[in-house]
Amino acid sequence: MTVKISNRIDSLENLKEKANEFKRQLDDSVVISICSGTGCMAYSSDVIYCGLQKEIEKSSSKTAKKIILKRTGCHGYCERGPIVVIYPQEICYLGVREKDIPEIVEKTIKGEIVESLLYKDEEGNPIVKETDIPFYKFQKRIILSNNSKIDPQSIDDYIRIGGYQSLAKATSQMSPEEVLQEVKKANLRGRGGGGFPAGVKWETTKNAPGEPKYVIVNADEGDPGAYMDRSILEGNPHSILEGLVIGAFAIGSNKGFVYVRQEYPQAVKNIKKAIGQAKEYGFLGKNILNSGFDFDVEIHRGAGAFVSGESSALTAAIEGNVGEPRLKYIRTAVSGLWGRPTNLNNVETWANVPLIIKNGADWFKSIGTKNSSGTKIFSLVGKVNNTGLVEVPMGITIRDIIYKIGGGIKGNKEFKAVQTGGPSGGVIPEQLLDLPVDFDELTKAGSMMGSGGMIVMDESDCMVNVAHYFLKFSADESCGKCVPCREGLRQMIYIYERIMEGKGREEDLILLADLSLLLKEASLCALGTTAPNIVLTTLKYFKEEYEAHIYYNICPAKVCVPLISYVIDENKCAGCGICVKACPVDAIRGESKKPHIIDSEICIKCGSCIEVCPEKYSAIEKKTGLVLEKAKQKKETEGGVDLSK
Amino acid sequence: MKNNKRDIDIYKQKIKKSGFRITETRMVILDILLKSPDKLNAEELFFLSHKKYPKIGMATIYRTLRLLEKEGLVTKVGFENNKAKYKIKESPEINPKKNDFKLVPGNLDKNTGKINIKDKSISNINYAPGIGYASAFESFKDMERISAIQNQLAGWLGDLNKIKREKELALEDVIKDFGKVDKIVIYHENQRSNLIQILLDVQNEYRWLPKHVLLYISNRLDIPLSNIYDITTFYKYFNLEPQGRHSIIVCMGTACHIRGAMNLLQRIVNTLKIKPGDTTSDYNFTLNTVNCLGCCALGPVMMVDNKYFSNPSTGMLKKILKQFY
Repeated sequence: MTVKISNRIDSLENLKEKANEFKRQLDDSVVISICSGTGCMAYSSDVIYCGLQKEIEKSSSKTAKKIILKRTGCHGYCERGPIVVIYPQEICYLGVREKDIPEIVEKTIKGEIVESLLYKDEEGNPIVKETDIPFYKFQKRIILSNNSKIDPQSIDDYIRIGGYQSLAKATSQMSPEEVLQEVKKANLRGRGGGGFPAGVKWETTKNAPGEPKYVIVNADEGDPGAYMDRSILEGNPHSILEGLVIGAFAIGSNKGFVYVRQEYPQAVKNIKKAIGQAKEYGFLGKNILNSGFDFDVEIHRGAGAFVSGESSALTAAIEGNVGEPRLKYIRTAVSGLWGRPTNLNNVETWANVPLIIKNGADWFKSIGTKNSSGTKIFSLVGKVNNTGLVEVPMGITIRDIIYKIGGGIKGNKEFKAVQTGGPSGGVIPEQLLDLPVDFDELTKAGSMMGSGGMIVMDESDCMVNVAHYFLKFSADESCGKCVPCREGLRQMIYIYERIMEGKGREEDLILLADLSLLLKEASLCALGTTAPNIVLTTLKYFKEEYEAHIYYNICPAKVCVPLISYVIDENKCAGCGICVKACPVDAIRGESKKPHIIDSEICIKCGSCIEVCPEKYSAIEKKTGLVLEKAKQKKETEGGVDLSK
Repeated sequence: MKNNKRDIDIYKQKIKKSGFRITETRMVILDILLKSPDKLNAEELFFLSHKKYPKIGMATIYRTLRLLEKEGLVTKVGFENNKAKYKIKESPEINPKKNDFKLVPGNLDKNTGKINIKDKSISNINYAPGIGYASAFESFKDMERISAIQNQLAGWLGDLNKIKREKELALEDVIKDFGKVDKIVIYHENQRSNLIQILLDVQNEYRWLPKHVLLYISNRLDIPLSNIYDITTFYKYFNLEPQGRHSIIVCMGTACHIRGAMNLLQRIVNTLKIKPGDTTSDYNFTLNTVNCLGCCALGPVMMVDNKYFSNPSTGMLKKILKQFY
């Protein structure tokens, strides 16, 4: 008869013992951890994982050393993926490919380093340790640093690095009120974009009348270009669960929900597994850690609606209805799911809670600024050299993030603006680059920090086009309930399309500003009130671009399709004909070895020809202003309509 | 009988030549005789013409027949039940009818009713149909017609059985579907509040939401079908139309947008000739756009099934798509 040994842990001492046991298992062994975040998976890191596995098996006979291979969550340096880190030395290899596998395994066994895969600074000097690489050095990775050390599908790994000890401390040594006061003192503000103090929200929920109370993890990360929450969900799901249980303990709730987007299948998988494991170990379910506290959690998958990330829409979706927001004169903290007090927080907020309980509110407040404590994870993407996830203390300047951590603008082009906050945020121009990043400063400048998207743009990005893109996104995702958002966004998009076609009018700018202010005042929910931020900020800081579109019909960044044309420089074109084959609409004509011509009537401006023109010729370029010239010619010959009016 | 119009014209000319008027009645009777494969007696002619032209009486028919006979346009062909039968007199100017049988020596195959031609070199021998040959001619034609009808009937029966079998199989499939969906509903504890989760599981099973499945869920959970449609049309993840075997997704996130996602989408649209949201006519690819795939370092990104491709050019696209056939 086999007896199943229960994995249940029932006290803090028990937990610490287990942690030490797992740590000892790693003595005398080398750990190779390979990043399996989505960015690296797209670079086939799973193939590299299998290759490493085979190679290690082959070599296991030749050495007594124990080599452990781990698949981890996102390391953050997505530009240089796939990333492999060797522990305990913390050797960091970047841009690993299949051909490097034998060398890595061989050298790791010998205790040597593969020089070619190390990071090289500007002088060419190699940097060995992960934390010395400039990208990581200037960050403060209190949450993300664990991603590289643990296998997200193993609860033992999480326990090894001290996981669930905060929960044990809270349930055995503190009262719910003490936990709540600690979080309130730490001034943990919501990381989902609203920046509302989490402790205050917890208190409201706790004091609101009604039973049962619910707690929710908002993992419906809808901002395009933002994948911070995903990296925590996929890389360290237990940290979120731990925070959730601590919060539930403080508020007095026995039932929780995790609302994850269906578009993150790996995240759904990992969190499901984590919940199963936590139940097995006694961190979820009845009588958690022998404290008498019960708590259970359920997963709810989202189905592709950006607006259902809003708290009232999310509760509607969990109830099985359509995810539309409602008026918030009664907060969800007082009346949420099925009319009961519901506390909803973002993934990152929950992930901070165990750290606060472990190290204390004072420690948390020592990081960051006076009004915004702690760190924030940003997804730094766009025209920057080091694309990836960065975790920085609040108060760091945007300039530092983009230049010190991000490594500056790609291709050494001119910086133009950085867009923060996703569709709810706005642009920050060069003159404001020294603003410290925190909840309030960016809002004062007209943008907002939002959930953490940071998109860097250079001189080849058109602000009018960017504003149009975000407006289209917001209009697409709008639920349609209230008139200002539904109709206002649509009308603004029509105006933008006219401007982008060269048919803009002088009064358009005033109209856009009017509509924006209307939406800000009269929309039902935050999607409507924050959607015009992009319009207002681009109008404020980049008015010249709008004027160039309207009065001169040129797009200075050469992006707006109706205002640009692709032209082949006769002097540079060698007539090689590569572009003719690449063109999907056969717009290029020419004899062999003679300069070719692009027919601008047929050209759809897709850019295929520029991509394939050999660098030595570089004969194709985008030009703007030709539309106006053509129209002038037309006017002279036919007496047509004056486009500039 | 396909060249009916032309035949009519020739007859019109003939009547004209003889100096008689072309009236509607005469044209109608000629038309019927032309179209009819059989010989007809006067009564049959009356019934056939009366449907379309009630004004034509029995007397008119007899008179017209006599006239046409005199002109040599119509011949009397034998008697049946004491009634004379008439038919169109073949004229060399008129093209032979399509089903006409050129009489050639050969054996009559009693089973199929067809003639197995002995000497294949003899093909176009035309025998003028006189009385003697006419009856043999008629019987051959009858046999051919009967066998044609028999073949057709057999084909119809086969088709019917096939359709019936297909319907049975389809019904079996439908019942199996209900079984699968039932399992999903029970897994979610029959709760109406779990509707979205149930629909997500069904969508993951079939890759789209067939109507009969939605009807079943509507009945099972006692939710009106309109409410279910409310949810499936609000959330973008749900497909109400069948999807292609492979799904192509283009990331339209901000980072990919400023790296040229619109151009990439344009290239894909031009290569596949479908718009985002549509499926190719051979149901192989479905094209969709999505807000962020989370691999911004690779932007602009195209995902086919679960493989990622970074900014493929038109040439690369064609190579990539070939792999998925």
